[in-house]
Amino acid sequence: MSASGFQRPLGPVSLPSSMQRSVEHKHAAQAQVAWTALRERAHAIKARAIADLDRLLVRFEREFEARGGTVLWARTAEEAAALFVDICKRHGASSVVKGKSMLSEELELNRRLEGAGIEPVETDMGEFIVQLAGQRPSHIIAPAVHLSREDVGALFRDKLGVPYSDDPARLIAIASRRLRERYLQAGVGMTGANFAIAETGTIVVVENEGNGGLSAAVPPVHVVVAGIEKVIPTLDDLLTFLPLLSRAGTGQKLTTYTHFFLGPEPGKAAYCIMVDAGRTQILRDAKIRESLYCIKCGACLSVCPIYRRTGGWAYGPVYAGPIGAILTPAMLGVRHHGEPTFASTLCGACREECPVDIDLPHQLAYMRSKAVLADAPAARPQRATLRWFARAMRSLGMYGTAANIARAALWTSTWSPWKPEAIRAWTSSRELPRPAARSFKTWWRKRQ
Amino acid sequence: MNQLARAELLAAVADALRGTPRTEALTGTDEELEHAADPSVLAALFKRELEAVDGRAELVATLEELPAAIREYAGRVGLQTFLVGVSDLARLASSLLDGARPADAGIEARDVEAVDCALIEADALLADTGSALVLARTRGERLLPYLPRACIVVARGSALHATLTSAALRVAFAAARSGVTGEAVMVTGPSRTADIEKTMVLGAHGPRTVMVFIVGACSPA
Repeated sequence: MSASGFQRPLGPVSLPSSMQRSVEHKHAAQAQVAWTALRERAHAIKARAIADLDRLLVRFEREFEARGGTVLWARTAEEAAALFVDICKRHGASSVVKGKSMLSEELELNRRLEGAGIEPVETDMGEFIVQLAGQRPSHIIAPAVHLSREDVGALFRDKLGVPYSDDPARLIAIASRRLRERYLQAGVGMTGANFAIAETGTIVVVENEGNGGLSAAVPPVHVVVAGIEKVIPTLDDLLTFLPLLSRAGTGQKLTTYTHFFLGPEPGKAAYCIMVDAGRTQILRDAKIRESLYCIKCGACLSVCPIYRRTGGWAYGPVYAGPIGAILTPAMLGVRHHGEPTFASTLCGACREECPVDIDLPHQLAYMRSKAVLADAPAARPQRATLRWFARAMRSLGMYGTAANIARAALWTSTWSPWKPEAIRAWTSSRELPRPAARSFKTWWRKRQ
Repeated sequence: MNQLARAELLAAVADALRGTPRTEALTGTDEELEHAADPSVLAALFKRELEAVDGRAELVATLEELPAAIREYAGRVGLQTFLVGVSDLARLASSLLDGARPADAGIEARDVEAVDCALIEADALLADTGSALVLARTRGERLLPYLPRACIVVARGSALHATLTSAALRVAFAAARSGVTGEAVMVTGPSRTADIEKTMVLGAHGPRTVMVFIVGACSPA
């Protein structure tokens, strides 16, 4: 990530209002159920599931395989992608239709499939658009939220050779027609998993477009990629999570499709690749273990004042928003991916919104402290400032000199048209306070 | 398969959890909110909720009236070719449709894609959300809710449930627990997307229209 990532807002001007509409919509849906009780229950179920994860994973494996599927295990992103490529080759697949999956982004699956000569085809409309544009998703559940209808119209004209239109219905119809044929041709279909049920080996996926259902049902092979934290104990737990996820994610009572993939029917093969890729590192750290409770609804992004201003790309790979600012550095290393931890006002809106009641602000503050201790480049200006501040506060002479310099700088700024680049965005719309004519010390001395 | 990765990953999980107290299973997850509601009340609620998500529902008094009601609807909206689920109710419902054939086991995806409409039975209806639960055991059945651009769902009034409970999902849960393979899917209105500027567009990948016929849940005259 570039050091200036957060200084350049990305996304359309409409992003904040779009997020606000989304939040209002969700709040209306949440008012229809016993939201607080559901939320507490979801937190308790996830706490239990994560504390029992080793046993639940083994149980899930046994049940999934008892129904004819195969579970594969990947310690790293590279290993997961290699397993996926191997499945494609064994089944002679030259293309893969993909349902929406943030884990697939995390694994950089498209790049790795292309490297093996296998064509990945994103089928979620937002993902299809960003794949066509050669971009990354900027929101967990709305991947193309940073693009306007005019952007999409121009993209389709340039990449698909269709007449320009900025009518969303027409653009969706074009994409839908294109993708129909791809489902029929693909040798493998991929989906993520919203929940993996240990009790029965069932994979549960929620979505609105039908592309998840098509990706799983049409090709002869279905591959699920799931993070190990997706396992929950029982089917009955879904009665808590399904209303929460749909309301927190999209403001719906239930999403259009809730799939229960029960196991491959005759003539079909099913695999589930269970992926660690940094999750056991999070598991090891009790202070951020709760972040594994996340059900990837995107609610914390919608309310975050920083996300609303910057959009998703500013957070770097892969997950954006408050939860991304915890997960990404925790999984990929805080030293090189520590900058997003500073992209928070710690206002607490994310925690209030989280349907699983994850204590995001405290985890963000903790990850920030880890970034400072790891000497992450993003933390260096703050460290240097505090070091100088501490030094000045320990020495009366140094404190006096620093105060005089600050007073002179403030006084100069009241008449000088030149402003340092780093503070121009702030000072262009605000007046700095006028400095006192003399220091408190001087005033006090004269008063004696 | 990949035993080393499996062993190492599970060992890493167990190691990370060392000293973590294990909690007991939560009990009372299934808060049965079902009331002994009049099916006609639930049917009216179902219809309202389904219409709120751009689907449609029609109440039919008796099984005898169902085929004619479906033929009338198909004629009205211009549906000509149909693939029909394997249940008795779906077959009965399609009995007056000229262009209907069963979605048997050997059917190919291209055949399903080519028809105007799927006709399937729902094993449960959720009034609170306007959702229809469909169990698909064969490849042909699995394709029906997604590939044709229109979908007709038929269900008995006795399939109506007030809310999302394990009783409402018992068909899916029982299938999962007993080892039945395939898919259970809850369908709540037509396929949709709001991925371009949050503008809602119906028929993103799956059906653009979803029509549910409920038999035997009409209000007493």
